[in-house]
Amino acid sequence: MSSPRARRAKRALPRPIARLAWQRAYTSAALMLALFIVYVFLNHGFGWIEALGISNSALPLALAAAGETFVMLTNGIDLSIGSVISLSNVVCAALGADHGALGIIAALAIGAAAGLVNGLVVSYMRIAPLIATLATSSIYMGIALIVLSAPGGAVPPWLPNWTVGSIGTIPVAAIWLLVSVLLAWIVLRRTRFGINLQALGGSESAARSAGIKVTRTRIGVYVASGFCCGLAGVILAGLTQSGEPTIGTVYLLNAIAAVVVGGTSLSGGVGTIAGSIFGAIVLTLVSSVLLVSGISTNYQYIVTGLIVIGALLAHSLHGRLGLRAARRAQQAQTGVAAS
Amino acid sequence: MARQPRSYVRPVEVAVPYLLVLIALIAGAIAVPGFLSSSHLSSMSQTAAYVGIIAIGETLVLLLGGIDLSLPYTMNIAAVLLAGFQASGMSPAPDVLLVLLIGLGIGLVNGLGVALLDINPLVMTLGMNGILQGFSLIYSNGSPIGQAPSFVVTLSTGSMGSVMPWVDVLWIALTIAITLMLVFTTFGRGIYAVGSNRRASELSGMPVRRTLVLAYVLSALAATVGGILLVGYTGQARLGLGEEYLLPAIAVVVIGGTSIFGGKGSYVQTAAGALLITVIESILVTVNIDQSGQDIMYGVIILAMAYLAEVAISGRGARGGGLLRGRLGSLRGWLQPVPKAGEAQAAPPDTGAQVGDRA
Repeated sequence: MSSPRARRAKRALPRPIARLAWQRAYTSAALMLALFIVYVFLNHGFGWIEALGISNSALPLALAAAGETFVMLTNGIDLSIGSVISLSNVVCAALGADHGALGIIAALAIGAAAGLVNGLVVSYMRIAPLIATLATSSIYMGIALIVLSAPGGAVPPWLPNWTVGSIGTIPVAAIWLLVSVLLAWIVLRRTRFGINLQALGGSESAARSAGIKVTRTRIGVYVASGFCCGLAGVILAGLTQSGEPTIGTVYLLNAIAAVVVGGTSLSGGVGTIAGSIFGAIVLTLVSSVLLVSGISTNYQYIVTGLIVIGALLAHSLHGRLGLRAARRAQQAQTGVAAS
Repeated sequence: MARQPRSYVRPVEVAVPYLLVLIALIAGAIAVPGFLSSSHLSSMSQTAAYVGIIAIGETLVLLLGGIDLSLPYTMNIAAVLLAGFQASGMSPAPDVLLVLLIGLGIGLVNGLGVALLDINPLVMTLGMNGILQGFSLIYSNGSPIGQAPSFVVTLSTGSMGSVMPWVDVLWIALTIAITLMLVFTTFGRGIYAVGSNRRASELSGMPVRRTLVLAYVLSALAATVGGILLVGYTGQARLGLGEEYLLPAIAVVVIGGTSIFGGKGSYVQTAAGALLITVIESILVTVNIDQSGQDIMYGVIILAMAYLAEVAISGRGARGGGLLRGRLGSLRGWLQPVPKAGEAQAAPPDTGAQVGDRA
C-alpha cells in the first residue's frame, strides 16, 4: 500500500501550516513556563510534593485534551469525552478489585469501543459530530450509572504506583506527561494515520482525492479519542482509588479549553497534540498559582475564561500575520525565480 | 416585487415533531393510568415550558450556525443575583429589570466578541461561561442567599384559573412573539439569511454583524428569564442551577428538527421538541425507569430524531460545498454531517476524485 503517491503525501504537509501549528505549541509551552516561574516565585521554591500535586491533576486533563485534539484536528468535535472518562473510571473500579489487570484492560477497551461507536455514528448515520457525540454522551452516562450507581468500588492496590505514585522524587504522572508528548509527536508527524487525519481536517475532498481512506481515518480518530479518555478514566481511578460515575463531567469543557490554549485551530487541520498537553498544564498551573498567591479559587474560572478567549484571539492574530508573511515570502521567492 | 415563498420551514418538518408528541401522549395514556388527567398534563406542560423558554436563545444562535455555551452560568448568575438583590433589600420590579439588563449585557459581550472580534462562538461563549461561573461564585461566596420575589414565584409555579400554569401562558406568548419575529421582521429573516450563507448576506448589504449581536443578546436574555423562573420554582438560588439545562436546550432544538448548521428550522419546532422530550421523560419516570435508563433513552431519542431530520425529511445530509469557510463556517464543520462517500466529489471541480477512488 506504500504507493509513491502515499509517500509523497506523507511529506507534503504544507510547510507554513505545520510551522504555524508548532509555533502555537511553543507559545503555549512558553505560557506554561512563565506560569511555572510565577508559581515557583510565589511558592518560594518547588519541591516534589508540589510537582506531584500539579502533575497528578494535569495528567487526566492532558489525556482528555489529547483525545479531543485528534477529533478537532479533523474538524470534528467530541462532546462525549466526559462520559467516556466516567464510564472507563467506573468499569475500572467495578472490576479492578476482583480481577486486577483485567479491569484496567476492560476499562481501556470500553473507552476505545465508545469511541468506535461515535465514529460509526458520525460516519454511517451521517449525523453531525456535535449532535452525535452529545447523544452518545448521554448514553454512556447512562451505562456508567448502571455499572456503578454511586461512588464506590476499588482498584488493584498496585495501580496508584503506576499512575499517581512517584519514583524517588519524580512523579510517575510527570513521566506519563512526557511520554504522551513524545508519543503525540510521533503519531502526528511520523505515522500515516497522523498525516491522514491532518489532511482530512484541512480539506476532506482533497484528502479523498489524494487517496486517503476518509471514513477509516475518521473512525480511527474517534477511537483514539475514546482510548485517551479510557486512559484518563483509569488514571483517575488510580488517583481516587475508587470509581465515581460523574467524575468525568468537569473534563469536557476544560479539555476543549486546553485544546484552544494549545493552539489547535477550530476549523481543523492545524494543531498539535503536544500543544494541547501544554494547554492542560497551563490550566492546572493557573489554579495552582491562584492557590499559592492566596487569591480565592473562585477567580480561577474567570482567569481561565479570559485565558481561553485571549489565547484564541492571540492565535488567530498570529495565524493571520504568520500565514500572510509566509505567503509574501513565497510570492517573493516565486517572483525571483520567474525573473 | 412578488413575495418569495417561505421555503425555510416546510410544513412537514413542523408537523412531524407534533405528530410524535401526539403519539407519545397516546402511548403514555395506554401505559400509565391517569396520564392525560388535567393535573398531570399541566405539570408536564410546566416542565416543558422551562426547557422551551431556555431553548429560545439556543434556537436563534443555532439558526445562525453559531452556538451559545454560556447558557448554564448566564442562568445561574441571573438566579444568584435575583435572590441576592432581594436579600439586600431591593424591591422586586427593579430587581428583575436589573437582572434582565445584566443578562442583556452578557449577550452583548458574547455578540460583540463573535461579530466584531471574529472569535469562534464556541470558544467565546465557553470562555464567557467560565467567567460568569467565577462571578457567580464570588458574588455568592459559595452559598447564595435570598428568596425569589413573590410575583416571580407566582409566575413560575402558580396557575391561571387553577388549570393553566402562568409559565405556560408566558411560553405561549413568547412562542408567538418569536415566531412572528422570525417570519415577519427584517431581523428574523436576517437570521435565516446569515445562517444560510453569511458571505452572500454580507454582499447583499445585510447588517450581518448587527444580526449576530442581537441574536446573542436574545439568547442571553432567554437564559436569564430561564434563571429567574427557576429561582421562582425552587424559591431560592443554587450554584450550578443551570448546568443540567445546557444539553437539553441544544437537544430540544435538534429534536424539533432545526438544522444546527444554520438557516433552516423554526422555534415552533423547538417547542415541539421540548414537549416531546418532556412527555417521554414523564412516561419513563412513571413506569419506574431509573436515571440511567432515562439517560440512555435521551441519547437514543436525540440520535433518532437527528437521523430523521438530517436524512429522512430533508433528504440530504450535507449541504453543498458553497458554504463559506469564515468564522461561522469553521464552526459549521463540527455541525455539518459527514458527506456520504462519493457525494463530496459530485461538484465539477473535483473531477480528480475518481482517480483517487480507483487507487
